[in-house]
Amino acid sequence: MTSRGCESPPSFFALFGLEPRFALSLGRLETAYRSLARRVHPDRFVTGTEAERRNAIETATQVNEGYRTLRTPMLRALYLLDLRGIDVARQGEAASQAFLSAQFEWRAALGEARASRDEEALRALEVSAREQADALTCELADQLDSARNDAGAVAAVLQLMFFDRLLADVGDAHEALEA
Amino acid sequence: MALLSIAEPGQSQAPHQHRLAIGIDLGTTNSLVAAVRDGAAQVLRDEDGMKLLPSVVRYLRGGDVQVGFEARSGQLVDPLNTVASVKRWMGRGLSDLPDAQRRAYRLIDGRGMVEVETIAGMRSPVQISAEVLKVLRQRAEQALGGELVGAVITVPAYFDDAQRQATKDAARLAGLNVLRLLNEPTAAAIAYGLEHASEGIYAVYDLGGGTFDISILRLTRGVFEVLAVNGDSALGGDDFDEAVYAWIVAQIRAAGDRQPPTPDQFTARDHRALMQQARQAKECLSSQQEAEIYTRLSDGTAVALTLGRAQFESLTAALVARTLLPVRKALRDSGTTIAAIQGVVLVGGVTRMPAIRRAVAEFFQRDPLTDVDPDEAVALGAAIQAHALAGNRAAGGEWLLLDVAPLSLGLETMGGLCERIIARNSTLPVARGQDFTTFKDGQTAMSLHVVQGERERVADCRSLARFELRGIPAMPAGAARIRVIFQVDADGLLSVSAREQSSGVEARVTVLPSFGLDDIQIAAMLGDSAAHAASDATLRALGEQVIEAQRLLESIDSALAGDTQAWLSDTDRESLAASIAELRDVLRSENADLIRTRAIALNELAMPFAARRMDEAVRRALAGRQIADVS
Repeated sequence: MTSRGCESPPSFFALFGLEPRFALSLGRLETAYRSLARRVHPDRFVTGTEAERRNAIETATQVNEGYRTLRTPMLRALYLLDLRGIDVARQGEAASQAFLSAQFEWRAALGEARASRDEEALRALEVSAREQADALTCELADQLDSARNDAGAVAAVLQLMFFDRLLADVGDAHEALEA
Repeated sequence: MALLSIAEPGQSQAPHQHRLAIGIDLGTTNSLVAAVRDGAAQVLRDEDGMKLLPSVVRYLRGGDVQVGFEARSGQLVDPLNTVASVKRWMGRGLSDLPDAQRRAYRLIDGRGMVEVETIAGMRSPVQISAEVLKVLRQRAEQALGGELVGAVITVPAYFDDAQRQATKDAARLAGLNVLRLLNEPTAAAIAYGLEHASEGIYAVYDLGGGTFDISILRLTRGVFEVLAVNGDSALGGDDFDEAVYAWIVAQIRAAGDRQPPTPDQFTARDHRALMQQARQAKECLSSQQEAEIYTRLSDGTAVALTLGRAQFESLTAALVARTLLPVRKALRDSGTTIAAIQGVVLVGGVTRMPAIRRAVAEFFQRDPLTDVDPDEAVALGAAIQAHALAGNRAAGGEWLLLDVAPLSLGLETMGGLCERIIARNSTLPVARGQDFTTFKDGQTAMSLHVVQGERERVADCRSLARFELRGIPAMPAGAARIRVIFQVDADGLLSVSAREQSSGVEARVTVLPSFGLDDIQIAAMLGDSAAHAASDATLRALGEQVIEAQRLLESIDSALAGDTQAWLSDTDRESLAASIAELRDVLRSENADLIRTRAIALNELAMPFAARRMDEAVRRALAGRQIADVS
């Protein structure tokens, strides 16, 4: 997920001057991002030397990557777990049997809405999937910040990954209907 | 202060010296050049006071070239040697083009894109576009009275990598230093947003002669943040012309008492004449209820027709509807809603059509903003950015532009599927890596196919490049770890590298684009044109080396003039000074190679210091913010 050079760079939280916590102020993140982007964006170095231009691209790329990671709840949770030495990709089996069958039902509902070209059903599915995702985001704040229950956080983030993907597929289905 | 010299390397050296830079809107139908003068952006006029330059190039016997109005009026007399709408060919092969264009010229598949046979020989879209750009460059040099630092050239936001690369090549061929490729709707947003000090979320609906873009931006305290773009790089005003053309042809056939002509039985001249009538009718119907169409075909047949606005709108309703599909996609990608949009800016002459205004108003549930000239906004925005990029004090106060990659980028994997590496609408610059492995024991090479597009199957995406990674040490299948890194720079251009890392042995390859020109080809093309003797090319090369070296020296000087303690020791300073002196010594030697060698040496020496300065800049940006937070 995060590419680290030989000397490990400061964490994205440090880059934006934020505490390494899941719950964060998006307003503060945005302000810090804009202030950093203003200084390091390649537009500032167009007439600079090649070394400066290359550096600006590298630094601005890191700043953009950090902003995207921290702004997106799912990526932020994965990143925080990564900082704690937990690789979620290796914990795939952690998903509970109950959630596996729930996944199956969500997928079936999407398949049905797509097959019957039902815009209304797609929209309803989108709304309830987003509610689930929001609930999981709150759950992640509890598990990662207050309870410090990493195993619980892994379970929640795996579910959130599912809903993020589902929402993307709902978007694609909307697109397919419009075309 | 040191921070200033870090943030604006160009400024601290000579703060009062205005560096001349221009913005160019290289359009399908017309092109414009603009510059910031006396603090305001303005479009530059030609000797006759005209702002628009028709993007039409005519090649004449004997090597002369006409560009603009003169060329446009030659269209009927000399259709095969007069190229219009060349932008639609940029980075495109023959099979990508609609039939009408393939019929109108003698086209073949050339180096990475189509080429057209003219009386002056084969010409590529890059060369033809360069002719338009040269005229605009000369116009700017004359109007501004000095040497240009560089230019910002605008491209449709939905242009892919091949089209962007071709545009950049054309500018270089025209002798322009490209400061940045800027997306057209973003340029318009800069011009509009700065003038009106806008805040909030805006949509820019940009329908040009040959391309359609929709862009959703958030404007906050001097930051222009593009949230999403979408579009259709093969949909524009030309298609409306063609719809009218098809109607005219149908009328001729219906009325004809002789054998009805099929479109390919028209001569090239008849085709152009009818297309011209179609375009005039379209333009006329923006303000009138009816348009007269009259022309005489080469076989003597008189064509006299009347086209009403209602009829015209039903002929083109499908085209208008086609623009709304990308609009929906962009809106969804931006994560915003119609209700959250503050205003809709219309760009491109085609948006004068009442049917378009109605469709946009209906979709966004608000009347579009019309207090921006749809023809000029793009060039003005480009000029404002060029002015700032060249190192001048930004017009309209400090601002920053955050643009996005328009299309997803990926690699071909097993079964002809596309593995997405960079998602569309990622903020630029962006880099992302993905690890791959070998699938056979002892496999020492791997071939990579880079594609761009949103579809799952590689066959439905645009192929950008293929390259091979060789020299992978022999290992059991699945043991090698090959990291492929995609980097998209601020111009939206992609570079790809691959590296095997598990064994400590590194192999690295940088992608060679299957389109696009390298410096040698550019030099060869410059040499190709009869006007350039060999000695000119040498002189030009020397001139470029000297400018590049001066730029390097100036930039390092300005860095050294600041507070250097944080990143430079006394020894570092001495070795830099020595290397600077060595380069200065040869600056007037007229030996391009020697200047180049010493400039490279100095550049390499300075490289690590630039990195330290950047770290320092990041630290200070943060420190400044925290102090502000506390107080």
